[in-house]
Amino acid sequence: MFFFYFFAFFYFFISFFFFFSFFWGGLLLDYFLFTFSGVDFSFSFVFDFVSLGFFSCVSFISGLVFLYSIFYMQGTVDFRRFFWLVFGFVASMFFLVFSGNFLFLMVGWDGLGLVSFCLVIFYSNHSRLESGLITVFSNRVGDVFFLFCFYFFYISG
Amino acid sequence: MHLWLPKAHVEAPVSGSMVLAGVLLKLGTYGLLRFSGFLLYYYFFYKGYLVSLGVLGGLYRCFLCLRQPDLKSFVAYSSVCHMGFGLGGLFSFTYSGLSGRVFMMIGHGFCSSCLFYILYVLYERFFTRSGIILKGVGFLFPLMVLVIFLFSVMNMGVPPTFSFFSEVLILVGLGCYDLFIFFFSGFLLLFSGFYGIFFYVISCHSKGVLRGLHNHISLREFLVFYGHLYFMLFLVFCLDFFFF
Repeated sequence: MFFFYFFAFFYFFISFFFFFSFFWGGLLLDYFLFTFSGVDFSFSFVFDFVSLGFFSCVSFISGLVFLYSIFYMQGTVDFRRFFWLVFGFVASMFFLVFSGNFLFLMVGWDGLGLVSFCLVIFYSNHSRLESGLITVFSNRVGDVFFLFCFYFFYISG
Repeated sequence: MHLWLPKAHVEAPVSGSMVLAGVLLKLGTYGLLRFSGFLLYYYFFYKGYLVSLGVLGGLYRCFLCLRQPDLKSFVAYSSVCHMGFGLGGLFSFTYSGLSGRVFMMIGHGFCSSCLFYILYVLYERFFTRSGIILKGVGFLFPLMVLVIFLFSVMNMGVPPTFSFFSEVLILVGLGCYDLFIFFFSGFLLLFSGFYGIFFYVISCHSKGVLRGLHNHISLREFLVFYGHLYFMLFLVFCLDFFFF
C-alpha cells in the first residue's frame, strides 16, 4: 500500500520539478532507428518548456487521481491492475506530450487508446464492453487518419 | 486470395499451424520477390488488379473474420487479411510497399504463430476451440491475459512494435501508387483494428461459462510467449537489417 502512496506523491514532485526547470531552451533526445528514402524514423523526446508545462499539469492531476483511487478502490481485488492501467495511461500521455516527432506521437496515441479501452472494460459487464468498444473504435479511426498523415508527410519530404 | 488458410488451420495440429503461419506463408512472398527481378515486365500488366484484389479482398475478409465461431479460423482469417494487405503493398512496386511487405512477413510470423499457440494452450485445457464456449476464459488464467492482450493488439499494429512499421510503409507505398486504393486500405486498417480487439474481448472479457481448476500456465508455455514477445518488442531496434 505504501508503494502506491509513493507513486502518487512521486507524480506531485515530478510536476513541480518539471515546472521550474528548463526556462531557457530544450533538450532533444534522439534514438535513430532507420532512414527511409530521406525520411528518418527515430524515437525522440523533446524536453521543452511547453511540453514540460503540459506534463507538469498532467502529472499533478494524475497524482491526485492516484491518491483518490487508493481510497476509492480500497476493497477491490483488482486494485493492482487498476493502478498499473492508470500508470500506463500516464506513461502513454508522457510519450504523447514529450514526443519529438510524428512517429513517437503515434506511440502515445495508440497507447492511450488501448489503455483507455482496458480502463473502460475494467469491470466485466456488457454495457461497459459496448462503451469500451466505442472508445477503441473511435481511437482506431483517429489512428487511420494519423497513418494517412504519415503518407502526406512522406510526400512533402 | 489465401482462402485455403482458414480451412487448413482448423484441421492442422498446433505445430503445423505455427510453422504454417510463421514460415510457409512467407515463402510465397519470398518466391514472388525472388522472381520479380526478371518477371517484372509480365507482372506490370496485372499490378492494378492484384493490388485491388489484395486490399479489397482483405477488407472483405475482415468482415468475415468477425463472424467466425471457431477461434482458430478467426486467427486464420486475420492472417489472410494481413497477407492481402501485404499483397497490395507488394504489387504497388514502390520501395516503400516492398519493404513494408517484408516487415509484415516478419511481424506477422511472430504474431500469428503466438496467437495459434495461445489457442493451443486453451485447447489443451478445454478441448474446444469454439469462441462461444471459450468466451471469457481469461478469467481463469489471469497471467495469460496480458500476453493475449499484447498479441491481439500487436496483430492490429501497435506503435513501438514491428507490425506498425509494416502498416505505415505499406500504406505509404499504396498511397504513392493510387489514392483510391489508399483510401480503401485506410478502411482495411480500421477493420483490422476491430478484429484485433475482438480477439481480446472474446478471450478475456466476461466470466463465461467455464469453471473449475485447470492446470496453470506452465513454464514451457510462458517461455514460448515471451520468446515471441521479445522478438516483437525488440526487433524494432534492428530495422535497418530488414530493408529490401
